[in-house]
Amino acid sequence: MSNPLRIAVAEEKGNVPVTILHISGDLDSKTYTDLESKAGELIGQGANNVLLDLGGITFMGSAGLRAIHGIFKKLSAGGAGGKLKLANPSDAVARIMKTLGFDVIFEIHATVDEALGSF
Amino acid sequence: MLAKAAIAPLGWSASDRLPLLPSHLNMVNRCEGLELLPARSSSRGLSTDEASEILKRSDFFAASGGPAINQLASLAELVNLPSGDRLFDKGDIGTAMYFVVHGEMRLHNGEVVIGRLGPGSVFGEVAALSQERRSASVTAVSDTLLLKLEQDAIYSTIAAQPAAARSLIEALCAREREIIDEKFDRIIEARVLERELEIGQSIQKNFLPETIPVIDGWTLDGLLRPARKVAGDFFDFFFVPDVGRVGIVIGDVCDKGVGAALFMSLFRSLIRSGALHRYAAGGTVGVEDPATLLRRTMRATNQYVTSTHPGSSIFATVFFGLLDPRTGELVYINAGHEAPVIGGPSGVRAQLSATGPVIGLIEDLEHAVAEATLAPGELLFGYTDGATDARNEDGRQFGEERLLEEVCRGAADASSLLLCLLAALDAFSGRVEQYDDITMICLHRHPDRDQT
Repeated sequence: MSNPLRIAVAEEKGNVPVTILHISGDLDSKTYTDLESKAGELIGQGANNVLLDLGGITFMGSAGLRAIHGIFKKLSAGGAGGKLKLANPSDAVARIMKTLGFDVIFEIHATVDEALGSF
Repeated sequence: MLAKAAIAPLGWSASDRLPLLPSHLNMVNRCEGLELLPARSSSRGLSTDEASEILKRSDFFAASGGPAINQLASLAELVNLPSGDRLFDKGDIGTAMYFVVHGEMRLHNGEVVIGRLGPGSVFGEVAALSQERRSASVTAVSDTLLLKLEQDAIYSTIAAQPAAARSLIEALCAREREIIDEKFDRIIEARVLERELEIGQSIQKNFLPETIPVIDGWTLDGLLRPARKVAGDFFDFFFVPDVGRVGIVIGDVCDKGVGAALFMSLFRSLIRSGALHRYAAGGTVGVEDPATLLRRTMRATNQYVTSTHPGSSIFATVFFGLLDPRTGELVYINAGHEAPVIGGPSGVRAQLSATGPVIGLIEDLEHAVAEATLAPGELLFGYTDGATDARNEDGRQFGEERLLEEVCRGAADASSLLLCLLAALDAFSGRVEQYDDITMICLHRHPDRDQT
């Protein structure tokens, strides 16, 4: 019933270098630390502009939002003006983000390309 | 994975010595029931007297008597295991027990270390004496010398020497006793932990309103059923004399269990304290209107959690409203909570959607205040996602639509409506265990007398 979380990392060189995490599967209380530690690792290696592609997420629990916020905190703590943007949420994920007011806290774009262009 | 080890029989005269590694002649792939190797060249090893001494000192054969010990010593083999080599894996079929002569072994299950086996330790007796598989893996931590007794050697000895059988049975009983004692200790520990959680549960109940305000023309009630012993959900009802209104709160901390419960107590207390003791929460002297009170309380609560617990990424969704029971006017802030609804027999009339984000994550939040009114005969219903996300045996969710349909079907008062809803949820879930905390609140305004 549950889908394993998968994270594929890609680098884009646009206006600025952007690290994209393509996330798929269930982002819940069992898997959110995987996302946090993967992103933490990349930030530790110097990733400063991070884009989360939410397109493949099949379930988003509140723990997933904790993870996203955790990444946001890590980037802010770096002091290098790190940016986190989100893109490509499904209708269900967009609805959760809106209900919780995360659309106010985070910059969410409809597509990955649109998000890349905004960095 | 399997270790390489030198194995040799101990059936030699007292002056003979068995070699330890390294001996290129004696390297073999170790497996159970191995062919024995002749090996008498080295000066380092173990005499039968020394082997007898080791067997005599072990609980298993201590009371066996000289002849049995000598027989076992003559049948025993030596196993030399270099550091890092695995003796056997959990689940292997084994027919031998081992005595550690020197060195150290690690008893483990995958990466989890269960114990250490040093000189004098005896292990592997269960698999050796029965048809059971190995219950754990054993790996050498340092270069280790073991004395190995095969099942056949043990059974042939105890068949001939009743004292050895008795010694073995007594030792097995002693081990059994140890295991039982440990099991009892664990049960007691688990009970203590259980009791601690029950204390937590009863303390947490004090964080829910003990009495619900009684208001002429209205019925109010709330219920909370945790998924575990303690919950991350909360609700609250209280009079706020300063503004002559009733405070209505429902919230959900983003997790389950003990961690969420601790934060639930914090959020709930900060909101109640902010609403009732404004001077302690940055309020100004003088008259405060309800909207200002709401904004100040939510700002202070958010500020406290984000500045005091910045690394936790724990947040709460909170709906906080102030109701004027005379007019039915409600001012509220909805911080990312599932929209409570106002409705009646004709369906849902209004959804009180979020007026700002969740609290506890981002500093310096300012939530918008919104207004609504409950007409006579209408009700306000608030819930946490544990209610809508409840699943049945087919994995389907109860869902918002079904929940609100049940709400609008109505009931005589708030309490009986909540009980009806809980019954409907339980009927839907069947035997599926509750996954998330379920919390629901209801305020019902009586129909005007002149209308009825």
